[in-house]
Amino acid sequence: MNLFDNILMGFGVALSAQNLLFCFIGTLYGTLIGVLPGIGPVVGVAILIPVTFGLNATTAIITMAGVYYGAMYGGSTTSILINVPGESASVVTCLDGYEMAKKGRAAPALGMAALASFIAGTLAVVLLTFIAPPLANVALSFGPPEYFALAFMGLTLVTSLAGESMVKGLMSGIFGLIVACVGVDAVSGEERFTFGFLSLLDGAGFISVAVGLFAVSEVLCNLEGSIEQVFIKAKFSLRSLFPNLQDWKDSLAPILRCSFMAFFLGNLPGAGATIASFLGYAMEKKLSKHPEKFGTGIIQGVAAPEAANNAAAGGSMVPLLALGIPSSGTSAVLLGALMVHGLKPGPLLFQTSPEFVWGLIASMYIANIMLLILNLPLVGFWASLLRVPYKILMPIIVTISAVGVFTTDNNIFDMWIMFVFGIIGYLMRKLKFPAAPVVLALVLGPMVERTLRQSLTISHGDISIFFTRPISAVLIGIALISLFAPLLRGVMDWRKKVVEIS
Amino acid sequence: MAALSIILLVNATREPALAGGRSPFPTGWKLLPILETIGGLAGFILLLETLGFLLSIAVLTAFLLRVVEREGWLTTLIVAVGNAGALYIIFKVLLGVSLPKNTFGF
Repeated sequence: MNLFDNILMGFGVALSAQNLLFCFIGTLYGTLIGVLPGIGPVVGVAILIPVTFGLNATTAIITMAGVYYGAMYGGSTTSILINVPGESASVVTCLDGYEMAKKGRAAPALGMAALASFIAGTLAVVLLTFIAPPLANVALSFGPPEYFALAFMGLTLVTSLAGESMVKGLMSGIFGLIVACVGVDAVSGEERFTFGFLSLLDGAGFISVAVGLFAVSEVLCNLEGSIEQVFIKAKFSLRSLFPNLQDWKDSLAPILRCSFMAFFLGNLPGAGATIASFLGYAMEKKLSKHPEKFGTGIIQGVAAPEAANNAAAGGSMVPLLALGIPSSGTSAVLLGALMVHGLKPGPLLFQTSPEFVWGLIASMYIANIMLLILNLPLVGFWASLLRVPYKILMPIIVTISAVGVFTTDNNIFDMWIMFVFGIIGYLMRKLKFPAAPVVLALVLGPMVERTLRQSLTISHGDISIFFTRPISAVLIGIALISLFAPLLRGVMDWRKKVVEIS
Repeated sequence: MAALSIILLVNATREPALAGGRSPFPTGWKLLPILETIGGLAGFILLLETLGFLLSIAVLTAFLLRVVEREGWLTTLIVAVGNAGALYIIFKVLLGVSLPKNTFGF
């Protein structure tokens, strides 16, 4: 089947009444998650996994991908109106968005955010449509050593890019690998780290850990200080939302540049939507003839990061679908969801479940259109939601998390896992340990272990198998560079200092 | 492994100690809501099978609102009942999950 047939088939799947409905629910809920400060896309998707249990896999993942996108759209509303990012990928949007709102230009800022998101999101899906299948084809020839190298690279890149300190990122990643070891050893059948708990034989449930680490810890952190809200009132008529011609002239090039940059950045493990939005803003500032105007409320400052975070979200679906490797916290949770629903992520996915893959891709086109419709005329409604105080939301988040975790296995023990990881997550956050590497390692851990053992069996225990096969050698090389780069930079800095002193 | 630990060690010595030397954790009364929430959640998990789903959700919601967030009784009551009801409808009625019941059957 050629690409065109596949896309047509995908739309056939995505346009079924049930999938359309759930795509809509997903985008609606995602926008809500994005608008409300204090809950981001990772939490939103993690809570949704148990809720979507009863659905078939395609519908479930379509819903969750809609949430991921929706959060990227919705996050900008909060940034622009109350100067509090709705989620981490909208932090940069605050800089110029809030300034625009203060100048009375909230409506075009919101409109441009939605339109930039739409253009970038759609471009990203088009690129995804053309890039993912050939990549999956290449990956079909991968053996265990290549997969090990790929997962190894994913782990090191994510851990070294997440958070401020690489050491802390690595410690988080290794902690995640240790948690991934819990359960019955797949090869020898021995029990590992179960401490006599029968419920731990299957390992620490992915959903329990993710909800604990993200949702519960977030709630605990938010209990300390109230989120400061200075609400900017603005009127939104549909006409006022559309940016004027000058706005378009200023924004179109940044939107396109940021879309391409962020899409390819999103393909790389480790660089999620947040990093992409920061880079997009920085890039536009550098390219601009008037860099000093950034931060004073110019429309490019809203368009660039909003385009970047949506394109990166689309870009992160490429490695997820084609290779089965997540590139960010949210896509790690999505990958976990795929496995929970019995799909085996990896290059074979395109052959074993084409209706799933193409249905999902087609649904992303539809989701982008839905989100544009949801966000333009309804932006006033979303803005009014911001008046719901966090105090009311907090108990709702806690109870939904707890019930959601319980329903995955009807097991009280899973709630205790969530409870423990909620406290661990809180401590990690306070001590500035990033949580994303833990989830990523938990998802990739079993794969790393399996492929490492298989590779070593093939090579009779000779570790050189990873370095003599070209693809795995390159991947391991990238991983090692990412590990050693800061050290080299450190040595250079140190040398510079020595030179300066002498 | 050995090489990695050396990198970690070298890097760790280069890390600045906790900025400003201040502990990032809240102290005194600011710690209270966090401990209350953790305690409330633990209590909820322990009592879930005794109290049943509806009652324990309502109690946990009320506890979080009234004790932790110090909301008024009216808001507490409305949100607690509404939240328990909404979750029951979503999980039990729409999704058909079997939820824990108390001895009275709800």
